[in-house]
Amino acid sequence: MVAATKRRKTHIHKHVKDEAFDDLLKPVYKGKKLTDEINTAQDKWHLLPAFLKVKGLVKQHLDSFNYFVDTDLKKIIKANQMILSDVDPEFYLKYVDIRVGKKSSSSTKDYLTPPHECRLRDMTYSAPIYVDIEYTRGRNIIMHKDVEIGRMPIMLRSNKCILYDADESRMAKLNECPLDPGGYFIVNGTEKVILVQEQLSKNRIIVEADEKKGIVQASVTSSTHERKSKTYVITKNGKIYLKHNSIAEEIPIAVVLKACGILSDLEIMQLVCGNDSSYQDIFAVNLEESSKLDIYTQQQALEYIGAKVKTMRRQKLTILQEGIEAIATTVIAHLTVEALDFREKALYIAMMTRRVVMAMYNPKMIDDRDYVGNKRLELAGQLISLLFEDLFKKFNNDFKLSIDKVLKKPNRAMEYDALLSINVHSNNITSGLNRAISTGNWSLKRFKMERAGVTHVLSRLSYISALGMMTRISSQFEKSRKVSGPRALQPSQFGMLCTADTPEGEACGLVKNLALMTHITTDDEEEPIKRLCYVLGVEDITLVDSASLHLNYGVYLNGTLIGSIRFPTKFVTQFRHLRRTGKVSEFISIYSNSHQMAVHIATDGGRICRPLIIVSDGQSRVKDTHLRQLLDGKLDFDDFLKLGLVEYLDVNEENDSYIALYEKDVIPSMTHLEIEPFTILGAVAGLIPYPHHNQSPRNTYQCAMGKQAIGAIAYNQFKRIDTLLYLMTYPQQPMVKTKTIELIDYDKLPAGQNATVAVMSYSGYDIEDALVLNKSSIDRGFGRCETRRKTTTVLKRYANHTQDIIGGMRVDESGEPIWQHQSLGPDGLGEVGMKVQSGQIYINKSVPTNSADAPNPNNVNVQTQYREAPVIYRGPEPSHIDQVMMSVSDNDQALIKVLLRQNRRPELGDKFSSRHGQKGVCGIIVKQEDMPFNDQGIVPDIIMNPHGFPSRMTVGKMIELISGKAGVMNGTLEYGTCFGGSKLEDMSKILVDQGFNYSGKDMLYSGITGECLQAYIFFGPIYYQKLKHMVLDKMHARARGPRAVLTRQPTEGRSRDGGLRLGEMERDCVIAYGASQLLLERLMISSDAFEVDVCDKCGLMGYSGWCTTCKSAENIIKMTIPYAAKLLFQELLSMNIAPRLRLEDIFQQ
Amino acid sequence: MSVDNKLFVTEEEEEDRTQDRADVEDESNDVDMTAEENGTSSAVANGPEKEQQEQEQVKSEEVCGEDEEKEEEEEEDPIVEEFPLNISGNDESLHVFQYANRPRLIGRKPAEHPFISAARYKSKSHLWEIDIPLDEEAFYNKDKAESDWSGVNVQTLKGVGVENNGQYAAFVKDMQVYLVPVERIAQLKPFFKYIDDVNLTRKQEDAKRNPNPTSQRAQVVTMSVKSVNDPSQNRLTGSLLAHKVADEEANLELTWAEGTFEQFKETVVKEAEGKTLIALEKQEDYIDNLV
Repeated sequence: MVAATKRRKTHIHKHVKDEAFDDLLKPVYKGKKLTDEINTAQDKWHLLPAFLKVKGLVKQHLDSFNYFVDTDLKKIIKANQMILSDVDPEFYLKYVDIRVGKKSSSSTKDYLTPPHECRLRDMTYSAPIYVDIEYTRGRNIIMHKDVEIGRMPIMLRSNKCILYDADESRMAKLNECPLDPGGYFIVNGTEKVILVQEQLSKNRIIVEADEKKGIVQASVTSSTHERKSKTYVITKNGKIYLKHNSIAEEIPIAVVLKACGILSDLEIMQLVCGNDSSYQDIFAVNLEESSKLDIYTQQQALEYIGAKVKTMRRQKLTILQEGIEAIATTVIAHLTVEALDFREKALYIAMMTRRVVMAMYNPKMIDDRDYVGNKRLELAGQLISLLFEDLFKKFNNDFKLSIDKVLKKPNRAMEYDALLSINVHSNNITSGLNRAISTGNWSLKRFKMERAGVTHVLSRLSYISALGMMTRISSQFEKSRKVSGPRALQPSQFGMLCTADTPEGEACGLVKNLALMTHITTDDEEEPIKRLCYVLGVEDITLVDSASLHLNYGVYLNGTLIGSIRFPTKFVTQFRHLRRTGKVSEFISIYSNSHQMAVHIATDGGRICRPLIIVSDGQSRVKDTHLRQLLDGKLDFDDFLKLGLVEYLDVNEENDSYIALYEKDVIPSMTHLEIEPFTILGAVAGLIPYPHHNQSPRNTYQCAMGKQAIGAIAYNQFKRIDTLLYLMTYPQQPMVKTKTIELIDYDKLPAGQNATVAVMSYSGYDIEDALVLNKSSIDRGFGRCETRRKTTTVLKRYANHTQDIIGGMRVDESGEPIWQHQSLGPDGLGEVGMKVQSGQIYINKSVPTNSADAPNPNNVNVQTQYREAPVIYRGPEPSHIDQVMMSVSDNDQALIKVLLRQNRRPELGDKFSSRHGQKGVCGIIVKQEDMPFNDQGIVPDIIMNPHGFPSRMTVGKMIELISGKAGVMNGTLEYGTCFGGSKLEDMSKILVDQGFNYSGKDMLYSGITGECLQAYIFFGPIYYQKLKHMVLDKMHARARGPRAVLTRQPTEGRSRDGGLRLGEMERDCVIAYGASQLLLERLMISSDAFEVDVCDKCGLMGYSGWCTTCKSAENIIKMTIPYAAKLLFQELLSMNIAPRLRLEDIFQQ
Repeated sequence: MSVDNKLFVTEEEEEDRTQDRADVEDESNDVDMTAEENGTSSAVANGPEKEQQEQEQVKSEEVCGEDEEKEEEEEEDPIVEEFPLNISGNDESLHVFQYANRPRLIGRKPAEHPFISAARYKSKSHLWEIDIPLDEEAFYNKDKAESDWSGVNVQTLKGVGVENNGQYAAFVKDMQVYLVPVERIAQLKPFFKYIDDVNLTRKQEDAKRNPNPTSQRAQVVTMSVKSVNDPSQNRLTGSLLAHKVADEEANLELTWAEGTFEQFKETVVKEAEGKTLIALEKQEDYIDNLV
């Protein structure tokens, strides 16, 4: 055994050890033995578990974070490595290296407080950031290693996390669930996810046209570490201009090109239009613009631009210099010119112009903003990297200021050691990171970026909801805007983003989810790729002359023209060959675009890509021998990549390929083969059995409801103390599974139960999707769940050395604790297992009355007075105390957490749903003996009304029932995988063999009369989920109760024991009906009736039978008005408006 | 003449490609020689030993490139003839000029190289300027030139020498290909200095004639010591700095020498004699090192 593990470790590939996936690769799996025949067409799906074993479900988050801590941090350090003093030119401090969570001296990682302890103790799961520095002290240069400059929150299961590579037993030891995907942070005890953000790609040209206004524009959002800006090339009255935020006016394009040193009109024309005469005709008019302005030389053009630049510069520059600066750094900021030659920039602007001209000539030559290939996904790593760089710059700045402050002093007693002041500012980085992650407010000074709602609390409602949150993508689009484009389902989403999983309502289509087999790239180095291109025959663009620029295909690396190539197809083929042989990173994409005569190579991060099987010569490269080796564990997914059998394609390259869905469809011209078609769905939509038989919105509904289903959330669920947790008491794995269910381990942490359903009408309590539940099923535990609610109390310490305390229990005369204190133990905290009822106390806390006083050092012995501030339980139903935890939080204050548990049986009004978007509430609970039964005496758990089917068209649900029934009879779990699964024909066969009707219908007998029912009833097991919406949490009534202070009207909302509002529309009905006394009762007497003293003479209000205005009690009349009306009169008075009441008797006496 | 398109392969075959290049380079070398002969080599002395090494490495690159293409194209593209390759040149310091706005062909005949009356070079900024005398007989308004443009009679071309990666000039002699590394390549574009000059003088005159009222007023000049913390005295960076350096750098006046190509060829051939090129690494290693 030991040898075996060793061997595995020495295996060249780093297997992520995860027993969960090993199952899938075992020799005997799902009835398939090693000796079984391997059929590539059907068994190639084994690549999927192999992919997930290597990549995991939240690999994109982990990859991105790992990239940040390992690579990006070093880049940031390098870019900001020097701190120089303005005072002492000799002084410098240089950052040499940076590490997270590991000292240079030790070979192992630092010990971190385990994540679960952080959750319980409201701490941040973080690791120290160490830097190696080199600095001068006096005349000496000093190296210092492992200086801590702050703490970095660590993403769970990333390579800096202590759970990295942990096996199941280690996870258990650390109180972690081995199935927990990780990918989130723990900040101040709460689990925070940085959602994937979707953005338009940076540094790429996007051409758009507004046909109504006749405007064509090409824009590029340049983004570098220092700045972000957007440059436009736009048309205006048929002429082309360059627009940029920091240039006051639009600049004629010819002037810009002249400023870049392209002086001759001929060359401008060559760069923009090439030999194409139709383009030349469109563009020619622009050449006049510059001669109209009398601009012939570069200097003139630069001065023209320089005069229009609006920048806040501390340094005074001449107009010419402003112009140079604008062209060199401001316009198209991601190409910064360091030297004299602006050609690169000129080419880029000329290309933008060319794209505009092309779109003017042919309006179809525009880009689609919503095309997934034009999008980039921003992940946790990138977002934290932005934040960290900002904080690090600030840190360095503060550090420099404090160094300068000391160095400025003319005569210092001793040599100044800069190290001493480094620790002063380290809290800035720590707290900056913590604050941003815990509030979700990303504010970056550099980019003037203020983004709110970047992070979210990880939803732990169910395992699926947590998993669904990790794959979620949020868009930057405004939710309120009424545009359909960004919300629509894009064909390019195929296989990349889930087609079903999107919320309903305002965020519909804007919030998306990743599909099962997606990977998001991280940044790759550009330079080696550039060199490779030149070796493969690309002509360097700086050497290509303008006249021949457009004769050949341009080669674009990350959107920038780097050269041209005569034989693009051959070049692309060779490049791909290098990628398939592993010479080039597998995530670099290359594709050609014949419309633009361009070969595009992308190495940037945030592209969505997915693996596909390579097809060559009309044959899949993955053969059964490979799959055999995969199943034997001799190959893993990365080997498939290295062997050139499988490759990653991003959306753009996918568009350049011809992909077969199934192996039987492969024809010679095809280039790729899908690994598994069901991977077009994501993790959440993968739960649905037979989704390909459902009407599409039903699948979307289920995706929303699957996240609300109560079930098991994690193996450590009973060790967790969460604000609110719903757990199902007896969860079952579904009878009809999908491959996705197994891959994401939903069968290990299920949320639902297999209910026997009869589709028939029963009583009248099943209208509008209401369900009839079997009382005995409920007794047996169907739909039973528990809620666990946390209360946190901190025992505060105050400035005057007083402190909150926990008091003991109070007893009555007989020595028994008083009723309120019944559940308390002698320590003043609720005893575990005790029942607490509404009004009882479970934390008997007292706070000092003099906490605000100044500390009194003289008489320490003064007895502190305490005021009781107990935590009282309020709720319609009693709870039990499940856990009590007492600990110390980060800031050394005592922390008490009490977990209250409630067990709940299903009751009328509780919400249930099947996995097909068919939700319903419990309408009636019927005794088992009154329910129908079949020949074998089986009684349904649920009766569902057949009216739920015709309009919903959820055929998948029916097939689920038949497959489930066949599975029950056969003793197997059946599959309802999308585009596959157990065949209906086979299922019917099993049913017939077992003596059932092929269609799943049974003969049922009435439980009331015993007669056989008139029709055959569709009868069998369907997996039902109990949703979190339960009557107990919602039911609410009030006769009298609390009122708001200001208006004296009843409070609002269930949590405040509020009243039930008779709203405007209801009021209108009552008025229309003429029920004036009802109106009076509802709106005044039951609400805020108030007796006022009105003076009949002046019409103003007095009090106590006295009119203050008239100084008399003579004409005072008592009457009742709403308190709100009285308030209105008084407010009007305060605004110098006197509302006077004129009183009359309606009924003359 | 036109060296417009010289970096482009005009024929499909590899052999022709070298040939073609060589042909075009032939003429350009004339130009480059001057720089060399006048000792303006801007690549200051890499030790010959080191240079040698580098060249051999590059050599292997070339060989690799060919091999690869051969491999792929072998079937439909048989080898017609093989040429020995030589890499040569120690301190030739070849500069290639591209005349961006001159046509490659006039009619069907290749355009001739213009007569150069003066050449200037700024070695730090790699800035070339060459003067081509204008034909004063035709399309030349002498009066206007003298009255408005201070008697300009040359067309000035200006260009920045750009570094390249692995570009070679080549020629064929005795069925052998000789490659000489190119130091920098400059695209020469018209530069209307006389317009800027005239503009400047005009502006200055304008300023003198209508003096700005603010500049006329007597001002109290206060002197203060610049604070070390004053951020306004930032040094220029990036392109601004490069421009400043270029402006301040003095021109090197060069003489343009014609007809030195044959002599150049001979030196290169002589140099290459007796040297065998050995590939330093295999194709795979090369690709591995590359990416």
